Amino acid sequence: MMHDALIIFRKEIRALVKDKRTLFSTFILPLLMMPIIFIGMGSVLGSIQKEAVETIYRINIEGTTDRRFFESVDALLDYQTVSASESSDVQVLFPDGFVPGNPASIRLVYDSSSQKIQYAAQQISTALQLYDRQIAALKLSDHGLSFDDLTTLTVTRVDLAPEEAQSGGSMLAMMVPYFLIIFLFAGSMSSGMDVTAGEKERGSLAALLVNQVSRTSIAMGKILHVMTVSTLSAITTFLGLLISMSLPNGTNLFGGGGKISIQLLSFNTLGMILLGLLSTALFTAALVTLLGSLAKSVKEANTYVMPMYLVVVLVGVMTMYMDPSKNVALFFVPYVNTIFVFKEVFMGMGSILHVLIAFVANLAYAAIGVRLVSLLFNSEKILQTV
Amino acid sequence: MVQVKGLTKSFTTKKISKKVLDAITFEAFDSQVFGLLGPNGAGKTTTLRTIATLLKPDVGTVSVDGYDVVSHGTEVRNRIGFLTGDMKLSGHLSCREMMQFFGALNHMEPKVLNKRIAELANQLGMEDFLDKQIAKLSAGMSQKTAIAVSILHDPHVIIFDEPTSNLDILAVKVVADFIKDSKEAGKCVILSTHVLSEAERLCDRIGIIHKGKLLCSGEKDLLLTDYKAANLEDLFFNLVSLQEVRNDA
Ligand SMILES: Nc1ncnc2c1ncn2[C@@H]1O[C@H](COP(=O)(O)OP(=O)(O)O)[C@@H](O)[C@H]1O
Ligand SMILES: [Mg+2]
Repeated sequence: MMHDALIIFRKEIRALVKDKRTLFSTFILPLLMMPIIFIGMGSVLGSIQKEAVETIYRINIEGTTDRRFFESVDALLDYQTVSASESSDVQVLFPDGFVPGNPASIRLVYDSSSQKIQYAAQQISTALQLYDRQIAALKLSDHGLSFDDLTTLTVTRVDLAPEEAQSGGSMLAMMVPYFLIIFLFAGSMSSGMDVTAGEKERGSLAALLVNQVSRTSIAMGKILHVMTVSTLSAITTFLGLLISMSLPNGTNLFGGGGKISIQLLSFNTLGMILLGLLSTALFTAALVTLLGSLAKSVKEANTYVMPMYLVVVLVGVMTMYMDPSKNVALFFVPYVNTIFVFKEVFMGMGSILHVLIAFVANLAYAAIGVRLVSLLFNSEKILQTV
Repeated sequence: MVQVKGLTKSFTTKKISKKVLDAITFEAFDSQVFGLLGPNGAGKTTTLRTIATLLKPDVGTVSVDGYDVVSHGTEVRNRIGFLTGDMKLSGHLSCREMMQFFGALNHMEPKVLNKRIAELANQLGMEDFLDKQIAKLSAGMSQKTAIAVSILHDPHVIIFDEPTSNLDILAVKVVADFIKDSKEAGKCVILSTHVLSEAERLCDRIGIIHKGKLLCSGEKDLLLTDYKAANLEDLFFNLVSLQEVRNDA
């Protein structure tokens, strides 16, 4: 039985290897897409930023001639002053009779719909704070004090969490499982629907079914293929994400925690990650293949698979901020179990028991899936539609 | 030899059950071509799919070389080659690779398989495109490939459902020649078609099916004389009007 399944698996892989377009769209494109988007975003943001910094702004300043204020603006912004009657980018209005050192309310007038002007207003507002601090320091020194004298307490934190679980690690624990699961499901969708509903559309499934090969072997061969494709595509997509985050001008999603420490990827943890990933991939492949087999066409299959995809995305979002839990029942729920296994591993508290429960549970669900697909191939329901 | 006895089959869609085959009975013998004729929707495909184990009879029995299609599905599949006009092999594998795949599924020894591929390529004139991708073949070429795949295991019974439906005349000739060769090789060939002239040329025995009922079956020439029909078209319309008179009565 397994022998026949492997024949089908090998044939699908062989066909895939020859199909340059599909190879590109499932493996190369996901690898390149994220880095390209990140580089693109980074360079667009960079050039907007550069332009904002290089512009010389027209600023109208009323109600003060204090040199110290003008100097602190000078340090932060290129500008020329204009009179109230001329058009200006930002107006800085000190109240009438303003005396440096007395409480006063300053008005900044500007159009926030322009990114550049918003930048200028931000710089001026910072300049105002620096100016304020300079004056306050002078006032303090009149009383023989400095800013340091105003601070009486300092706090030192001692973090008891394992090193991996601290900030970076927990960001990783939040995001990685989410992305991997999503990529896994997305990766299994097109191949899973193609080898089932797609083959029905082309009429080539009937050619398989009138052969002597058992229908369980057909189901297993197809599911094995979908699992392989989706695992590889999830890994390449994820690599793309990692690459894009390590790019110099890429936005760093993990807030500096993107560097996976070597210690984290020990033999044990890698093993746990793989068990979780592969068993979920197998279950996902079985699920998508089952749904695809129910449909007459790829279009119909889409209407069954898309809702499942949304459920998986939802599960990912809902569990993203959850702390790892001691509740063993969670590890029996597909997707949820893998997400929590990953969380635990990335936080340095991986549990062999949890990994094994998740692995066995996923395998059991996948086996049920294989059984259902083969029952379906044997039932008239699918045969009427091939 | 294929025996169909009292085959009845209904399909249920949206809770409405529709009788698609009503007590169909016929036999097809070795070294002969049996033609199942009738207009679109008559029930030809449903009948052939039941013989090919893709559907199960509601009532009645179907056997292939003595094996029942329900209880001995694997033995039946072992003995039949099944091909439909709308069954398309496609994709990036070459003809040879596709045949090797189906051969492996049939558990053929690689040596035997390669010999068989060479033999079929010769018989069907496939040598020129044996290593071309199936996706890049003409209709005739891909039909030859489909035939080759369906008879790779040298089945004794060959079932062709409208094998010429999507083909140009050159490709039709390929199929017709193949059917004649198979008959001469002692095979039992069952073919369905709504093109009566095609059946006229190829078939030894025929069954005419209309709205799920078999109107007649037997030796083609005997039937023509019995019903005093000049050709199959005549025969068909005679039978249909007879049937309608009977229904009115
Ligand atoms: N899977 C199915 N579900 C419901 N009705 C079907 C199905 N397959 C065929 N039919 C109906 O059965 C009748 C016979 O179809 P078919 O055997 O394909 O006819 P033919 O091959 O002679 O054109 C048609 O009315 C068709 O609509
Ligand atoms: Mg038909």
